[in-house]
Amino acid sequence: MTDTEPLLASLLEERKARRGLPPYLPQDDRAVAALLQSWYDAREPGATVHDVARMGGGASREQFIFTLDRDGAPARYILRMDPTEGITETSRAREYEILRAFDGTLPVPKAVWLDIDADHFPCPAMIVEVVAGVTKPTSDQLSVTGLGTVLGDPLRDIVRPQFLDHLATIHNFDWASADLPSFTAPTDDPKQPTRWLIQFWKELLEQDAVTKEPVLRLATQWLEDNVPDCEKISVVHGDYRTGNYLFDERDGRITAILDWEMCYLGDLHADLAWAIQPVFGSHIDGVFRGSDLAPPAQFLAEYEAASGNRVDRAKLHYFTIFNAWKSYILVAALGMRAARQAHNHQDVLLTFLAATGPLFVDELARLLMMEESQ
Amino acid sequence: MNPSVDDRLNSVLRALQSVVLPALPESANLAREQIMLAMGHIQIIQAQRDATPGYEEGERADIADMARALLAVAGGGEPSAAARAELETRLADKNGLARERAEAVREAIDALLLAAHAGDERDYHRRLAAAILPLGRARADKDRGWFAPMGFDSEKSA
Repeated sequence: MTDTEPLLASLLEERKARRGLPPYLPQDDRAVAALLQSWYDAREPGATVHDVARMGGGASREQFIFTLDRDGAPARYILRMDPTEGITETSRAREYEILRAFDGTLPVPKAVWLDIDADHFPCPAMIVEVVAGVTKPTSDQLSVTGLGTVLGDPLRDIVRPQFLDHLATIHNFDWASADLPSFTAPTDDPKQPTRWLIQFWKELLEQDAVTKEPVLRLATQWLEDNVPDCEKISVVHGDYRTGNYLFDERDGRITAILDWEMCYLGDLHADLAWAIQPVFGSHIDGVFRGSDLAPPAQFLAEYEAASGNRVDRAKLHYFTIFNAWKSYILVAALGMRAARQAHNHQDVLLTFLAATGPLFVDELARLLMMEESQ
Repeated sequence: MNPSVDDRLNSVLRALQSVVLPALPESANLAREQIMLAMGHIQIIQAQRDATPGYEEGERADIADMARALLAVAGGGEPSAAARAELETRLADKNGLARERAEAVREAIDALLLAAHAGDERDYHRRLAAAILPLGRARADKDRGWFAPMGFDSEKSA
């Protein structure tokens, strides 16, 4: 077993067994509608499901939006289901628990139902409430999943303080008092949080790599050899950036923080380095803005002020390397492997996204050369 | 006259664009998205078709250059000797397609890095890394240029 969080170690073993499964066939829309109705028949008799529609976007889960009518009061929900494999390897139970833990503390979609063992739906599934808002200005029809999204003025100055306040709330959250049975706190020694993290992603890379890229091997070895101590174990969102929150386009208010599936307990520097990663930012008139919100120095200073957490530059550098490595693993290992096995409903998107792989190899080589020169 | 590859791909694109896409309801978000992505893939593949053999041969040549550079690195001891010998063997093997030969060499480089790291040949491993990183970066730069038409790379796609 991999030296990582127990639930994630089990997940890594389970996915090996799925590797030999036949091609994944997207769920039939009408069958999903019938399954939703029978789900609610058993839990909320009298409620009727209608307007079931497949959603686009995303690169990991199969999603359907639907209306649930209770005594003439309609409400909209999303059903999220796991295909055989995808660009991430995550647990619906953890996502469900963390959404419920933050409900009332942060704007998050309300998680209402979970079928973790696929007892009713054909694969593990979760139902969440729909939140109004957009992930990018409606004038931007071109960017994919937040890559290259430009909020522009005046929106970025309205969104930025909220974005940083919410991140501060996540990092200062009292996870020890929350109901998170699927999470295990890495408290054995100060390196355990990041050691567990590295071993999880390394095992994914070993299982899924479609090419033995030398720079990736060097990065893996460097990350293993230089694990920093974690002074404060925080909730780490794992994918915190522009593209992963909804906002009201009229006033710029963030209405929901999304995509919690890669969440874990660990070092908060991972989220900071992720949000200011080049691929998620904008370059306009010679100015780079992380998540199109602010240049990194301003972003970090405002985060420190909002959270009271000190940013350690050496740790930020470590997680900058980690994030380029993780990004490569997501797009060029997991995504490509899922597409090659025909184990996802979005193979054509996964092979498109895999083209970002060289960007991360280049970034890793550049960062490791900086290390070599010191 | 036999239909050329371009004729065939253009006809597929036209079918997707002018027949399949308009037939999909506005609500069919995922299907519409996938048709658009499929068309994008085809257009890029079409634009790169003539250059593809040269690109794959360039990949092979670059990884072979890296392998030669690594074999020239001094200081490797017993723990990594077998991996060096295997790298030499794979480098000399002229069988297979360019991309298969490139991957065979990559696997041998990977084994060498693992052996040097596990065998605690720290200085030797550091010299291997110093040889790999600039060459790896130069190769990644070419790959970024190759995939620039996908539109994700703000620097290269501009």
